[in-house]
Amino acid sequence: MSRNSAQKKTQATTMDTSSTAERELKAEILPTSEPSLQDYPETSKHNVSKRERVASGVIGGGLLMYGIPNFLTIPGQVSNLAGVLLLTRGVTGHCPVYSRFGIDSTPNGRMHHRGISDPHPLQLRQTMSTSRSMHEVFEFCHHQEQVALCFPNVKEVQKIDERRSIWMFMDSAELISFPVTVEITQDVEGQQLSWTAMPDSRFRIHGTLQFKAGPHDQETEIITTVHMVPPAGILGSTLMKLLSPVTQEALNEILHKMKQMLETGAITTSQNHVSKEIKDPIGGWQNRVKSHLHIRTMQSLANRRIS
Amino acid sequence: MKAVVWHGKEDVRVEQVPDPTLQNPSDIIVKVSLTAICGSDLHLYDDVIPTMHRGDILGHEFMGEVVEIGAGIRNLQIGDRVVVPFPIACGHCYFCQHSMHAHCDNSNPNASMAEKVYGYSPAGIFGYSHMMGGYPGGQAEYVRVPYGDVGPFKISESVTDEQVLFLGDVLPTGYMAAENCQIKLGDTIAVWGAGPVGQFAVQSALLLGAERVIVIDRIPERLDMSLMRTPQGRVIPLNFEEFDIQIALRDLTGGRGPDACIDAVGLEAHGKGLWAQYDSLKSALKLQSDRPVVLREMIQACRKGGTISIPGVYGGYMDHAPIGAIFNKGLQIRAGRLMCIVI
Repeated sequence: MSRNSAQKKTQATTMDTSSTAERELKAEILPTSEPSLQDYPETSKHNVSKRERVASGVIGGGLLMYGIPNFLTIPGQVSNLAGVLLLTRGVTGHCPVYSRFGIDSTPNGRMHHRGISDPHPLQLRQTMSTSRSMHEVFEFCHHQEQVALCFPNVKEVQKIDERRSIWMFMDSAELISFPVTVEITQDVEGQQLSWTAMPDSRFRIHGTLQFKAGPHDQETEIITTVHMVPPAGILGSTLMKLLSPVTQEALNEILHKMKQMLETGAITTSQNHVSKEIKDPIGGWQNRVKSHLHIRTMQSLANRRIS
Repeated sequence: MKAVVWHGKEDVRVEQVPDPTLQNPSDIIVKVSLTAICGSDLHLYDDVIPTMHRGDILGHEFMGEVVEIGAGIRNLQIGDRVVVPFPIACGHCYFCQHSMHAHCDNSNPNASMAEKVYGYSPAGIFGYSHMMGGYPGGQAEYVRVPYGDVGPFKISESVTDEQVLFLGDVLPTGYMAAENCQIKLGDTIAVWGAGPVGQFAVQSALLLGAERVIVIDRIPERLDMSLMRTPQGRVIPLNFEEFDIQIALRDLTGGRGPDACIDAVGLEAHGKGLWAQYDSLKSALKLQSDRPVVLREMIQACRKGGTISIPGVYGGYMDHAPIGAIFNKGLQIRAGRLMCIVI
């Protein structure tokens, strides 16, 4: 699907009838069922504009001119380091800091509205197959109370009407709870379910569950897209990445649990003594940190081999 | 209840722990009557399998009596004697429906952890790290067995525990290793490691039509055991501390190499020579997770167009994998955990 047609589709389906500018913004940020450029990590090596490259080169060269004769002093060494980094940025046209924060000042990058103050949507995407028919999967996802069981921190779901409900989230220590309003924005029987969380807030989360028949009998592919648009441009986006519990790993865990519910009727647990809610299957932050370090070590071993 | 609890490298204790309880309708509780220490438990003992936590209960080879059943269990009753296969399988997902129970999609509650390392998660296993589900294991008085209507199978009263315990892991693992070799009449199979899996692989290879099986180990008692109950001349033991394995295998196969090689050793292989020392050093420095001494030997020794079968446990990454030999000799590699579950 082309970018334009995707925009037209989302414009056609959104229920908001606010101003044109707002509609254009929503068309830009609402999730689409087809993968777009923004679904995937940055692939271009250049993310610095020509003007910035020249400036980086000149400033970097200047810093080196100061730093090399003063190599034995601390300011000289700092100057050398900064000079080398800026010169490299200018020569290669790639800035790792920009890359980290999703900024691209090249003409191509600007086309994608990736300025510092522009909205920086974050997108999570995951596909999973289940040995259940499309009808069964759609019905399951329609019951928000059932779906909520797959979320580790949802205490309860209160239905307001057919489209809206309030999900009560709670921290793992069960000290703080906060309500989140969820509204179903698109409901295509057996094919797609779109929702938005906190529709009245400036911090929006949109999600789409698309259902496709799998290659095997009674098999359904669930394509999940979660699109988050934090306020405050790049700052909001960065804070969201660092602090938000909505991560790729969390999405994977929720989908695994949905699949378990669909296929076996219960959520798998290795816990011996947690009866109702599975809060932390790995058991405590110390073990989480230890497991994370183990996994990161193995990943870094793999990455070193790949590189 | 009492259980064997992991506390760290080479630190395993028998301790009092809480009894398990039913969590899901498809759970059963088994009172363990007999359990075994698997060769792969040594990897946990040596702390080379990641994501073990202090307090984890070990053991994945066990059998016993069903003492509690969940509301969803239809095929078992309290009092039944069962052997429990070590991979936990839901029986409903794509992989279970295609007899690939060791790849079950639903039985690993920590699947996302394994996905980071392997891409996709294997099934959960009893007592074998949190990456494999974090399930309490069977070296205990009682065990909660999830999906009790899928894996565990009933045992008649006419056989003793000792006669059937190995159905949970080592016998089918050894058999699968031999089956993966696609043995034809007259084939020569080389088996590295004469531990329990290796012994069963030898017997299975003979059963499947191998003409000769060459067994490689360094423990004389194990090599002697491989000769028991086998027709004379069809099993040839080789002590790798006394022979150069590559030369010996060439001699024994008319210069062509074994038709298939089975690695019943895994990631903590011992060996001699520079490669073995290199692997030990890299493992000690945590620069590689697995020591592939046997794998390299097998790939080198196997005949052109032969098969490499790997039932031995590997966990992470190995260095200097001889991909050139694999490609240019056209070797097939077949690996993995026990797949079949008796239903």
